[in-house]
Amino acid sequence: MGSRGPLCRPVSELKPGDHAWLAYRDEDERRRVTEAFIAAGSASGDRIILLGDVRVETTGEDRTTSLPWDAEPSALERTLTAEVAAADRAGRSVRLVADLTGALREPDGLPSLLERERLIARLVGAGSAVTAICRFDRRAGAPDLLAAVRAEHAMRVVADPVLRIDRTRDPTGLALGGELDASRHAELHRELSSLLACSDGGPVHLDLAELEFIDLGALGLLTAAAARHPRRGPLVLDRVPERLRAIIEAVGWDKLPGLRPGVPHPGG
Amino acid sequence: MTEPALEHGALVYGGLAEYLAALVPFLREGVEAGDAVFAVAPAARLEALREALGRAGDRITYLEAEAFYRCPAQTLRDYDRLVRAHAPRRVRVAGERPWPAEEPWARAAEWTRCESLINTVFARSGARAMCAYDRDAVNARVLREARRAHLWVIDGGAPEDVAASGADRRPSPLDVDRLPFESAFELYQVRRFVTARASRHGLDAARLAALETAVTEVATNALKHGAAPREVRVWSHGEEFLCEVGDHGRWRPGAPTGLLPPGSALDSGFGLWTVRLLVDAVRVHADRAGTRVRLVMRR
Repeated sequence: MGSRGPLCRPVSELKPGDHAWLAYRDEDERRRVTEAFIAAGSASGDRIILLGDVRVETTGEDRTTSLPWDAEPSALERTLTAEVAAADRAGRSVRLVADLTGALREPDGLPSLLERERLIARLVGAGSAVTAICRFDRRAGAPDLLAAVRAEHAMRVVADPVLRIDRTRDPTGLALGGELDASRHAELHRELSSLLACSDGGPVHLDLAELEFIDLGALGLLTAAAARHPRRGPLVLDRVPERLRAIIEAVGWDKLPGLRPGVPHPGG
Repeated sequence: MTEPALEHGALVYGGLAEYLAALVPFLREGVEAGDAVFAVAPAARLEALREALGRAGDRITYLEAEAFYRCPAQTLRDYDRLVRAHAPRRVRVAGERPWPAEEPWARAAEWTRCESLINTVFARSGARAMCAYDRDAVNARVLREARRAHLWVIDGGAPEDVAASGADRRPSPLDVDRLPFESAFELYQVRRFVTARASRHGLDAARLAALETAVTEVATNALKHGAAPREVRVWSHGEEFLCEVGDHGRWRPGAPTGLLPPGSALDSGFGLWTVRLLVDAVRVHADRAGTRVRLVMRR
């Protein structure tokens, strides 16, 4: 889906060699992407480099380096190259977060901004295990300025959609939490198929108590899964939150053959 | 769905190029699908269609509009004969009645009523019909009725019959908040963007949940079937909160309109049908620049 558009990756799928762009709309988006990126780096012992106004809470403070965004470019390049080389020798990957919003605000800041961007691109492309996110406050720059900077990046990074899927034993089924939309259909389809393949023929339960959103495509996907397994009993939707129940009832259970309402949500 | 539904759309065009750009692919698609294909139009239009269709046009029956649209009852009878004579093949018709400028409204109204009757009479025929209206020749009242009588409208130009409801108005760009999106990973941002603004407009929690579901569906469709760039736009107009998903893909005549209930969630058309249940109004607007699906919620 959307394969013709510019590349867009959720933060958990960034890989070394990726030089990604984040033009955040608000603090929430900025925080969600940055924290997920840094947390994954801390967990795997990566070297973390913060360039410009990036404040994060990290557990391994000794593995984090902070540099000002307005450092003189050749000095900046030397420092960054040395950091990457040191990490490389220690067998560590590098995660770089640059916030160059300050440069966007400078009058005629574009040339020096692009110089820094190209420096980062060289660093990421040099063959060591470096992953970089360049983030900008979308509100701080004119659209043409943002477009010029964006063009330096091969991809855009977005926050991870949150969907939790857990197997349940008694009753047999899945517990879903978070938000379920087209970005996660494949994952649900996979989990559900493997569950149904080894089910004993009894009803399969989906516990939706923690699910905050379900899209219409997912209702179709569940109905299709039930239809493919006619002798395996219905899919029972347990503990459906009120707001989801209202949507399902607007559709009507009769349009969802093979799905059944189960036990009510504890909240009513 | 047990029986195939009628797809009855209108094309509002200005100039021969717009006319051909919409009707030639519509007719050619019918020939390729093995439909029984008819073009009913004034003689000059038929000539242009014949020329533009080339060899595909050899399998189309051309009928002169002056003879075909003599009286509504006869026209309905003739349509009925076409459908029965070709069953179980599907009938596909591009029709255009000449609308004489000097025609009194009472006379024209017989024909706009005929358009509505087609929806009932042929509801389960599976036929596909596109009725063309020349924007420069047809009066505003006929156009307004035409927009009501058809399940979808392709309009190459600006709507000139701005209705009383804000739902049909084009907003001033200054009042619009917009958010581009390009992948399914951004659908949650589309939801956040729309619900934050709808909540400020005063929609309650139940209505917000309905709108959130509807806009996710429409945006997902734009990702699946539309073309970049895509964006969601929101604005308000009096009591109404409006939310529009736009993309630059070509609207496919015959795509589900969601007006008729599907048999189940497995049928195509289930998504748009549900969207229509969840919001107060849905407007689909398509032209050569792309497709816009507008959702209206009243406070």
